Formats: sequence, C-alpha cells, structure tokens
Amino acid sequence: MYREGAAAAGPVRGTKVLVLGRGLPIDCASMFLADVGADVVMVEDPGSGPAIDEVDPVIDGLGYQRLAFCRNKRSVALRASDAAELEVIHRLLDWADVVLYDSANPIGRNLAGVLRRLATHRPELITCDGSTWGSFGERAGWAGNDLMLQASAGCMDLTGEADDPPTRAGASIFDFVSGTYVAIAVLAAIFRRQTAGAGQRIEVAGYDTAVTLLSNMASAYFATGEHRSRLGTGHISIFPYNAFRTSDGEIVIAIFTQAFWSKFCVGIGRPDLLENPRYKTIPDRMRAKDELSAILDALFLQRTTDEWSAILQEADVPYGPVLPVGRALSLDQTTHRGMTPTMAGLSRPVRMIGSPLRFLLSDGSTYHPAARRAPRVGEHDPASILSPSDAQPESSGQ
Amino acid sequence: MNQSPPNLPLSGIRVLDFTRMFAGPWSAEILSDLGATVVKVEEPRIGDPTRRHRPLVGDESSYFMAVNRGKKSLAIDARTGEGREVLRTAIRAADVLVENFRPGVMRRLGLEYETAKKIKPDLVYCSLSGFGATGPMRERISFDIVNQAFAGLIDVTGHPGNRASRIGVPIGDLSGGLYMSIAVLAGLVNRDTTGLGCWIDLGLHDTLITLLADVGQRHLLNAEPVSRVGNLHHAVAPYGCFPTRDGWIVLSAYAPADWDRLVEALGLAPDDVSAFGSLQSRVTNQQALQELLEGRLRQDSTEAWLALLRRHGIGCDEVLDIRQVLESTTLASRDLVYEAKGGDRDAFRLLASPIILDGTRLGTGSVAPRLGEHTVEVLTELGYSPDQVRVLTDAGTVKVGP
Repeated sequence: MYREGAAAAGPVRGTKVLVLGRGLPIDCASMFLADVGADVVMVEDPGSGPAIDEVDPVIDGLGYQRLAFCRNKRSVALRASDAAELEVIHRLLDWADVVLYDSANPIGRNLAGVLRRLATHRPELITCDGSTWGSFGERAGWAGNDLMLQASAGCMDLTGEADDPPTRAGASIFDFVSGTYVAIAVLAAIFRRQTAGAGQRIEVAGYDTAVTLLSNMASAYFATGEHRSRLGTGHISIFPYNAFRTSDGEIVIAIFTQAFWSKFCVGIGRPDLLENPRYKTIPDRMRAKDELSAILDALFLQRTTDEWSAILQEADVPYGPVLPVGRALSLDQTTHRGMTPTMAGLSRPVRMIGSPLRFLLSDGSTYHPAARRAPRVGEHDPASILSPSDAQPESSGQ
Repeated sequence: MNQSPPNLPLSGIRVLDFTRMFAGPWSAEILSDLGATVVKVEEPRIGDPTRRHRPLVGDESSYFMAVNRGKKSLAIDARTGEGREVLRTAIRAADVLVENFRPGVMRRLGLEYETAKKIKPDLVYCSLSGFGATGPMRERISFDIVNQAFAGLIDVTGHPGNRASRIGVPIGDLSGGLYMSIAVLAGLVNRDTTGLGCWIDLGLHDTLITLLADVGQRHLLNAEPVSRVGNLHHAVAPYGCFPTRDGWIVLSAYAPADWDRLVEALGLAPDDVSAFGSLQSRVTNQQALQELLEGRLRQDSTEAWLALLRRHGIGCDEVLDIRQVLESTTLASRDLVYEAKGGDRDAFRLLASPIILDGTRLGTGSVAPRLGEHTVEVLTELGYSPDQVRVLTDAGTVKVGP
C-alpha cells in the first residue's frame, strides 16, 4: 500500500526543458514534465500572452489557466524579434536538453530552422513540435485550438443527446490529450538518450492525437463502413447504459453483463424484469429499449440521487451520480488522494487541481509532484538560469 | 517474431502486460509502438474479453485489433500454482509490469508489488484502477461512464435544460491509459538514474479530475457553481458551435483582435455589436451574442463561411462525423491510417500512432496477436524446454495459439 515515505527527487530530475512560447498543448506537456521533476523554463513574449491570462478569476496577477498549467515552471521574458534578446534565446537553446515548440506559433515558426540546425550540431538534443496540424499535410502551418479539434476529429458529432446539436465536451480534452502524447514521446526520448546518448526529433500533431482517440470506433468503421453518432450518455449496443433522471438530479448506470442485470433487477425491487423474456439478453434489451426505458425512467424519478446511490451500491452494480464539478472536487475520495493540494506562494491559500502521479520507490521513499505556483511572465532572470553558480536549487517533490 | 528496430526508444525493454479491456491495453500499445516488447498475459479460455467485441474483421474483433497491435500473447492460467510460477519467472525477466484489475486481484494471484519487488527489485510496476488503491471508494466498480459521472465531466457536458451527456470519446478510459504511459516512462528514467524500481498507483478518477484543470480550477478560485453551458464557454466568447444554412461550424474569436476581424468578416453593424466590445461583456452577454451570430451564420453555407472566415484569419472548422473524419483529405495528408497485415489475414485499415520520431510514424508495422500466438516463443525465451512447454500445455496451464 502507498504510504508517504522520505521524499525522493523527481524521476526526471536534472533534465532541462525549454518551452518556446505559450499554447495549451505545450503548456500541458511541460506541466507533466515539470510534475515528474524536469527543470522547465518558458520563453514568453511579454507583449503577446494568451488573452485567457486576463480572464477572471485572476489572483496576484496570474490568470486561472496560467495557475493551472504553468505550475512548477520558471518564466523568462524574451522577444525573438529583438537581436539582443534572440541571442539570449540561443544561449538558452544551448542550455536545454529538450526544446518544446509549436511550429505554427510565431516564435516556433521563427526558430524552426535554428532548431533543425541545432539538431545536427547537438545530436543529443531532443526537440518536439507540438503544433495542432503538424509540419506536413494540407493544414501545415495553420493555427488551431481545442475547439477546432473537437469539431474536425469527430468528438463534437459524438457528444450530446440525439436531439441536441453537436456538442462541445465540457472540458478541453484535446489540449490535454495532445499534451500527454507530447510528454510521452519526450519521456521516451529522454530514456533513450540516457541509454544510447542520442537525441530525437519528435513531432506530435494535436490533430493526429485527436483522431487517434476514435480508436475502436475507427476500426469498426473501417471494418463495416458504418458509424455512430451522438447518443447522450447512451451506448450503441448496451442498455441500460446511460443516465436516468432522478427526483433531484441524474444518475448513470452501466449494466454491461448478465450478472449486473440480475443484481440490478433484484436491487431496484423489480425481479419481474429479470423474469421477462423480452429483456433476457443484452440484444433483447436493445430491441426492447423504448419500453424498458419508459419503465426505468418512471422508476428513477421516484427517488433522489442519494437514495438510488445507496440502493445501487448495495446491489453492487456500476453506477455513478452525475456530480457537479464542485462536488466532484470535494468528494472524500478526491481529497483523500491529494488531488486538490494547496498552491504555495500566493497571497491567499488557493487549492488547485493536482497530479495523479505518485511514485513509491523500491527503497521506501516516495515522490508526489509539488504544487509551486506558476511564475509571472519574466519572473526569472535568464542569467541565473544560464550561469550554474547562480542556479536555483533543483525542483524537488514533496 | 521480429524484434523492434534498435533505434526505437524502448527497444530491449520488456513489459509484462496484465491489462484488459481498454485503458490499460491502450497504454501498453503506446509502449509497444515506442519499441518495447509487450507480453500480453491472457486467461487461456477466451483471453481479453474484448476479443469477443463486434464488429469483426475476418474472425477477429475490430475493437481488440485497435488497442493491441504489436503485442505478444501469452495465454496462461494465473490461478494455478504452475501458472503463477511461470509468471514469477516472467517478472524476473521483465522491466515493467502493468495491470488494471480492481485493487486486491493481483494480491490474490500472489503477484502484487511487494512480491514482485522481491523477485525483481528494480521493476517499474504500474496499477490502474477506477479509484486507485486507497481512499473510501477504492473497492468501487468502475467503467468509463461511471468515472465520467463521478468526476463532474458529464454534468458539464451537454445543453442546459436537456439531459447531461457523456463525452463522445471514451476519455474516462483514455486519460488513465495516457497517464499510465507517462508513469511507466518516468519510472524507467528514474530506474536508470538511481537503480530503484517503483510502484505507481493510478486512479482513473484522479486522472479525470485533472481534465477539470480549466473549469475546475476556475471553480476552486471563485467558488461559483459550474454546470453545463451547451455550446457556450464558461470563460470566453465567442467560442463555440453554430448552425449554418447546411451544417454546423465552430468558431473561436474571443481575443480582442480576433473579435474585431470577426465583426468585419461578418459585416456586423456597429449598433449590433456595441454591447460586445470587451471580452468581459461578450462573456456576460453570451446568450445574446450567440443569437446574433447564429442569425447571421444561418444565412449562408458552411463552405462559404469557412472560406470567408479563414480569409480573415479566424479559427473555424466544420463539424464532421466519424465517416467524414476518416475519409477526409486532411487525414489522408497526415498518413495516419495504415494497412495492417499479418499471418493469413487480409489487409485492413487501422489508425497508427500520433507520435513521429525522426520523421518516422510509429505503430504502422504490426497487428494484434491471436490468443496464445506467442506462448511457445515467450516460454522458450524464459528458458522453458520443449518438454516443459508440453507438460504445461497438457495440464491446461498454458494454451498454445494458432
């Protein structure tokens, strides 16, 4: 069982990561790398930060998204358009083990040629282009964001009730997914560099990661030529597997085996449904979905979400109350697992969304990512990063 | 079986993969794409339950094929003493072990981290379960939709007034699989620096909570309740989905310069947009803004709007269904779809890895294994003689596949 032991240093401690510019995929990727102990420095143009950084709530001059995604990093303010500052950027590129950039944003576009040359001079350098559309293909160089990926990679068509318009997922999932894939590719390259000494040129296009999520839905289409569209919370081949309205909210159930169907019918006090031959197997229940839906809709409306939770828990079937975000964040499970740590270094205590990564090392020590507040733009001096004598102590976990 | 090309990052790394269904196999497939040798440990009767999921490609599941490429299948009964002995031998030869059972299952098999560590001290061991191995909900049954509900993602998705919706891609599983890959890779880097192994106890619930970094972080700062806002956004506007005369488009023009360009592109009258001059006013009056834009955008076709908006440098796109995505020229231009071939199968199409290393896309060279296809090969590599393999096969401890 995981217990907090002596604090270990982060798994990738000592790895120096330079992030050129801002943008959620590379912000997110470098957040993961900082979480596992990398020394991450963001190069930011002080005149052209993302508009979202100005959107409330702002605390101590730091926007909520910056607080969320730039934790545990350092920031230097440098303009590639200024010759002297560009010279400093070049020295930071020499400092770095890993360079993350987006070939479609201004600084990434500016320095793409430099990075290609650097990769030849420094074969141990790892570079990763985390743009939306990639460096080749019909949209190379286009700007993009999570919303465009939700539309163009099929997710929006798949989200919402059948009678809804196509619907945006309530979280920016593709920024997150492209960020994780960038982090995965970079970590693999760091591992290889340790063992083989060689760097790598990596490209992870957000669009490719978004399409990849179609996974089994794509292989089903390739196999049959048929495809599905949105079904609310429902499932294409299993019923009941969806949300039901209760007297005060909604609850989802996932009755995807015969054993669960049997426990479910008994648990909700309707063993007669179990006896009914029209509802015997999953294909039977799919065929009788409308009439069975009517029965269950009426039944679920008779009690509160909490009452149904107790009944379904007792019945030992998969269920989940549709919790609002606030309750999801304050669940005992969420806080027990340390998922909303207090962020250090702000004028008032603020909880943040934490990291799920916790390492129990074989010598009994543990590592859990720190929660140091995001830096202000240009808070750190490039000289202190470049000069080892003035260097800050390495980041470490708590 | 060919070894991976030696220049892949994880070539030479052996992963013992106890995962099944979706999240874990997805993660192990990423490790396989990166060059690791992944031995998929399967129960010998039917194997991974998704082997039965329809639709089929030939006589195999298209679902299973999508998340298990490049792995070797070892069909073995872990409930027998002989089976467990083989698995302990396999742990000794492994660098990584991944599993996604309910907490306690690996302990019942005698293969939990404490035991595995005694066999292989520097093993990187990652467990992924619905809620993790600690906390009051650790025993709960989990499933994509259940985890999406508990993490607040269903409540924030969909239209106010209508029922909530789950996110159309199985992000509940996928986020866990992606974190599992990060955890394993970080563990391997750490092992090579310190000589230490590790255990990572991941909960799908925790990984989904991190998807709330946007709406959830806002809530933690301002304590305002958050629920679904349909195709509006909590913090910025305009940023959403709009009907045209013949379809749906998304557009994003909340930043000041983008908004000005949008007003110009759509030819909106100054009086009509006077209430929306600042980002804050656009968010506050979002419903009215949405109606204004919908009214305008319904007047022409998707194709015409996309051309016009793109000329003005505004981020926009067409809402595509699965078929349109998979048949699009955009996708074709990325070389992400490949023809999978293997054994006696007819070639069929699959999606490759989104990772491109030194100009080469990963995951284009292999197919998923048949049940027990590599049982003999894996046992032989572990040092079992043909006679010993025969004894294990005859006893039903292992199954040798086609």
